[in-house]
Amino acid sequence: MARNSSCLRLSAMVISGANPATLSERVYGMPAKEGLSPFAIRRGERFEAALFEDDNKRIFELYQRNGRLGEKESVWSDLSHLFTEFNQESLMKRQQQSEEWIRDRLLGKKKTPNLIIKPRLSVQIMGVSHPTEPDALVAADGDKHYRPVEIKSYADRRAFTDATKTGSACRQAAVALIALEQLLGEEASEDRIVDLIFAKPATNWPTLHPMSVGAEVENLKSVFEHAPQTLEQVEKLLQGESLDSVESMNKLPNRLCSDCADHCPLWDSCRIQAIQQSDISLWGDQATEILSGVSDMNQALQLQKTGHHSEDRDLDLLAAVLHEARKAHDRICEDEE
Amino acid sequence: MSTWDVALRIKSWEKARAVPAAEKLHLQFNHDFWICCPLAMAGEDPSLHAVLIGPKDTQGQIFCAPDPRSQRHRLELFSILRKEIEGYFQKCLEQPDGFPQLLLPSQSAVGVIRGLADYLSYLKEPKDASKQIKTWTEDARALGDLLQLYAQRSEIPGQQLLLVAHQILDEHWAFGQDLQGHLGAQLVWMDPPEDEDIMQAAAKAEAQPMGVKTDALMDNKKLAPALEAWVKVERSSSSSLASFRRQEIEDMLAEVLKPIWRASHGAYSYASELKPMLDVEQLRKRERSAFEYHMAHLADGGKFSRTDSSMRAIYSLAEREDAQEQYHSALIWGDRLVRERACLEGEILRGTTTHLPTDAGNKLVIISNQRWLKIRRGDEIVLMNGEQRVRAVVEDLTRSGDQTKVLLSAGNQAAWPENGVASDWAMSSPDWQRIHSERSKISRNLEEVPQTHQAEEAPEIESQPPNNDVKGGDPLATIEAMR
Repeated sequence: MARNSSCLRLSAMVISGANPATLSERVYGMPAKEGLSPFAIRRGERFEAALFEDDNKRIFELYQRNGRLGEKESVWSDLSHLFTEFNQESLMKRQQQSEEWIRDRLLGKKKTPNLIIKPRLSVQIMGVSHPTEPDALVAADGDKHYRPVEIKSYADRRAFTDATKTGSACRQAAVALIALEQLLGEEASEDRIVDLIFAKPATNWPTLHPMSVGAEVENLKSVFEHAPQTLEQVEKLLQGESLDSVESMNKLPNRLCSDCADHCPLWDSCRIQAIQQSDISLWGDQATEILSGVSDMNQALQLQKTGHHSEDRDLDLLAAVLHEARKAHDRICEDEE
Repeated sequence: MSTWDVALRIKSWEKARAVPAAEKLHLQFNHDFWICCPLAMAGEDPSLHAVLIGPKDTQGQIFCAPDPRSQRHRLELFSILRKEIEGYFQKCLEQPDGFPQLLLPSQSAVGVIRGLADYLSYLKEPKDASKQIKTWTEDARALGDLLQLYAQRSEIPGQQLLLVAHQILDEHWAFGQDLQGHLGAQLVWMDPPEDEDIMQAAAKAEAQPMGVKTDALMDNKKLAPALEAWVKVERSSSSSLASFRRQEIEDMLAEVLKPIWRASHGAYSYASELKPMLDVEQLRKRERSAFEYHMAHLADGGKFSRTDSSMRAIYSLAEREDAQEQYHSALIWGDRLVRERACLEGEILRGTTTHLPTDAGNKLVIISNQRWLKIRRGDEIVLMNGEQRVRAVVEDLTRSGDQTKVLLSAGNQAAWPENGVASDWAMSSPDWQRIHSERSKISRNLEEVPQTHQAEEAPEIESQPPNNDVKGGDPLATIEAMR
């Protein structure tokens, strides 16, 4: 939702708790796409296993090497091992234990782990609790706050590390940071920093990158804050209809972006709709920005051909430039022919 | 993307086919260039699962590491590749103007080559050679050293060593849809189907992977089970079963790679129909020189450092900046469509000429109707029309209504455009020798350590009140006065 906050269709699904992939399949009849490759999943599992083997030797060495933990600061707890069952009661206990340690550390009450593996927290959106599970939380003995840790097996190629991968890892960690802020309120840490752990290329050796995620946190918070208005808008548009038919879904305006394909299961159906409606979004994000105010591709073509727009000054200027460009292009291409 | 690009996108959508975005080819294909289509395993970065590689006029050869997670298989593949690529490099070195040009299908393939170069050329020989898992071979490191040539040049604007098929199409044609670099969809726009909506046809073409990864569905349903079956029999006594399983994996990967090869070749076929622009020879000379330098460095036993020294960084930045400027300038001078785009964006001045009376000195006025102009007072500009280069300095600009009056002071009066004639003036012309004078300038400057980098404390600078007297206290006028 944070990746395309201006898409009302996506927001409506997330707020209503519907699974976009299921809706895409049931409403639009689009077959669910295969998620991650099994090779990528296994690579991630191998990396995590190497980090946590021998009583978390590698991850503690990493933090010690980076001067973040001392040699004796190696108390840990793996909550997925403490509460192994996958039922509501076990998950609740996991969350309670995580929150208890976070509060105890703040109050300095008793010895809490330096590393909590697989904690469970919750994020409140419009009074509804949504669980989130950061990979780990870390703190030195003297720290009052835990810092979220996101572990990814992505190859750390320093300046050449894939920026989209780093961005998505930051967004995930930012959700955990919001959960901590909501839990501790004013007592929460002011430093909006998370730790990203990546892998050295072609190995299972970890690297550590503290990252400031202030912008991601603010972006997510703004989406959460606007959720009530979004819901109000959705209710107004749907007028009591449920999200179970193409007609009702299509009543909610979408916003097709170039990276929708990477994260949204509705992408295929939105694209088909855009093709049917000659939507400008098919020309890409930058073209959509340049053509803001133009209703569809047909109007853009009309503006280009006539070179003016009688009612809108901005569109008139745009039309003149598009016309001039078209004339120059036609002249040279006709010369060629 | 600019308004010019949007205009072309609209035209292409109207025509339902790709339209030219360039008049000339901005590069030149070597007669013996190679095509290289790599495939990596999902999650394993950097890795090479298979590669289809070879001269453009062949079908290429597939080399495969059935399980790239295994060090042994990886190293075996690198040994084979080293032999192939080294042979190609040597052949090019023997030609007077040769360099090993490689055509890759996509930008993600460039990422694979860069990733391998950065990983392999820094591999360290393990101190304990008796280690059970071998992580290093001379071949692997040598391959990395060869690939460093591509890794280092790939960031230089106008470079001709590492060509990317989808970028070539993107640079030379405009498409009526944002195709996000999918080579297959681009080819649909180049040659649209007669009986199908072009956008639907492009969407279908996108189902065929054109990047460097097999799709997750294939991994799940076919590749992962085949790999598992092969791992089971690999070390068994039945070598025929093992080779059958290996072949099965190779065939699966070949099914993915062959369409990518054909698409890359298709992009080449379209591009090669265009005539190369005038300055392409100069660009090629630079590639040869970079290639010769690289090979000499390797022959001397030279290595590549992971981080640049400050000195090297300065020279590299200067080289990149110069390449950017010269290439951009060459495009404006050598391609009429690029020139039109530059004109629309105000990068060149276009207008009618008026000569001023002789007693006004060597002055002429250009009256332009352009909406935007990026030239300023004091800029030196060059006349693009005619055979002789006329340089002029912008003395003044005045805007009135839709017109801009530009007062120029220029020498070489005989070569001026005639009164009332339209002319184009560019911000610069390609200067392929400039990098040499830049280098010696940098070298002279670096002989003395600047005061900011000296160990002693910086002298105190007496603060001065702002000079409000200049041009009546107008801060913009103050800045203009400093020019």
